[in-house]
Amino acid sequence: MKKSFIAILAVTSIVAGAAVLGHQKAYASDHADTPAIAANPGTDLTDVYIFPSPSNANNVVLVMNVHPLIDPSTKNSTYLDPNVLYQFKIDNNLDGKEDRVVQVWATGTGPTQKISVAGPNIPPSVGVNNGKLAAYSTMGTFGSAFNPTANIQAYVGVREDPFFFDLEQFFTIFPDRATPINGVPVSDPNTPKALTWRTPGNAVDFLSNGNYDVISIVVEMPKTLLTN
Amino acid sequence: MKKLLIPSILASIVLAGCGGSNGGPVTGTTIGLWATTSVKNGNVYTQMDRLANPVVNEVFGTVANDQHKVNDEVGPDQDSRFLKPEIDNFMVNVAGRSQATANVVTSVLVPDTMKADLSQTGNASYLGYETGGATGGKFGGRALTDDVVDISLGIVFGNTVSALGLAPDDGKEIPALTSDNVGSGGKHFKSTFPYLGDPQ
Repeated sequence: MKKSFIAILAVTSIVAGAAVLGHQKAYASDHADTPAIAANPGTDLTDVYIFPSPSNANNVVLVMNVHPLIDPSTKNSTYLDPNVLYQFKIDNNLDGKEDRVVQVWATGTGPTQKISVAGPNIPPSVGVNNGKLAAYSTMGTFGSAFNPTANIQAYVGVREDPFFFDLEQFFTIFPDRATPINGVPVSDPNTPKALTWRTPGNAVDFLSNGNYDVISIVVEMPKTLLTN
Repeated sequence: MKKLLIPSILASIVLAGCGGSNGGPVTGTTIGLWATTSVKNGNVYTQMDRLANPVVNEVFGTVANDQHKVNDEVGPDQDSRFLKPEIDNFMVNVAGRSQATANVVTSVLVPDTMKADLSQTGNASYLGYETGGATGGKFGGRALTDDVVDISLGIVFGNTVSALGLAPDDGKEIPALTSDNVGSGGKHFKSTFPYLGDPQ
C-alpha cells in the first residue's frame, strides 16, 4: 500500500482534484509521501515481494516496484531512472540493519537502456548513505530478462501493477488521507467518514480498472546466497 | 501472543549470537527484507524512499509533521522511535482497539522489515512468519496474490489478533471494515520469470 497511497493519492489527484486544480497542478501536488518523491517517480517505491521461485525450489524471488501510474499511453516510453540506486536490503539477524544488499541501477535511457546488478554482498556502508558495489560484468537491457551471473536471473521493465485495492472507497472512509493531493482539508482527520467498504459487486480494483503499470525490478537467486 | 512472538523473539536471540550485527556472515534462515531508492549526493547515494510491509507508513503514519518523509528517509532501526508511536496512536485512538491489541501490531511491524524464513518450502504468505503460518504458510514474505489489504484490515478492524491468541478480544471489531471486497482476479500473473503480468 505504499503503492496504494502513492497510486492512490496520485490517482485521486487526477480524478478528484483535476476539476478543481487542473491536471498538472493536481499531479504535481504531494501525491507521494514527500514532494521530492512525487517529483521523481523513479524513486517512488510502490510494493515489495519475496516468495519462493515457482520455477526452482532452491531459489527465491525478490521484487520491488517503482514508478506508479504508468498508463497505456506511456508504457512504451517509460524507463528506469539512471540517477537512482535501487537496493534490496537483507537483514540476517533481525536487528533492523542490513547485512547484505542487492543493488540494481541503469545506465542511459530509452529502449537500449542498460541494467547493472550487483550482489548479494556485504554493503560498502550500512544505513541511509550508500556506495555502489562492483556490478557483474554482464549487463542487461530494460524490458528483457538476463543472467548477470550464472545462477542469478534479473528483469527490469514495465509490468502490470500487481497491487489491488478499492482506492475510491478508502478515500470515502478516510478523506483526510487525500488532503495532501486534493487540497481539501478535513476538520477532524483520522475519523472514519464511512463504516463499510463497497459490496463485492460494487468494489473496484482501481489499478486494474485503469490499466496501470509500474516498473518492476525482479531478481531470482539461490536462497543460499541470502543466508549462508 | 506467545504463538506470534516466540518465533521472532527466538530467531532474534539465536541469530544475534551467531554473526556480526552487520556485514555477516550469519547462518540463520530467516531474513528481514526492505527496498530503498537513493539519489546521488556528492560521493554517496542518499536514501529517498524505503518500503517493506505494505500499508504501514501510508495508513498508520500521519501526514502531519512530515512523518511520511521521516519514515521514508531513515532505516528500520529507527522505527521504534518514529513509526511505533504512529502505529500505536492509530490502533488505539483511530481504530479504537485495546492497548494489548496495539502492542501486538507494533511488535510485528517494528522494525518494518518483511520477514521470510527461507528454510520453509511452502508458498509465501504475508505475515506468515510472524503468525506461525496462520496466514497461509511459515515462509512468510509476500506472494503476488496475497490480499495484503484484507490481511491488514483484519488485524486493524477485525479479530485476527485475538483469534490467534495474541491478545484478549477487546470487543472493538468493526466487521464491515475487514475486507475491501477486491481480490487479485483482475491481474495477469505468470507462472514463469518474471512472474508479474505483461504491461496493460
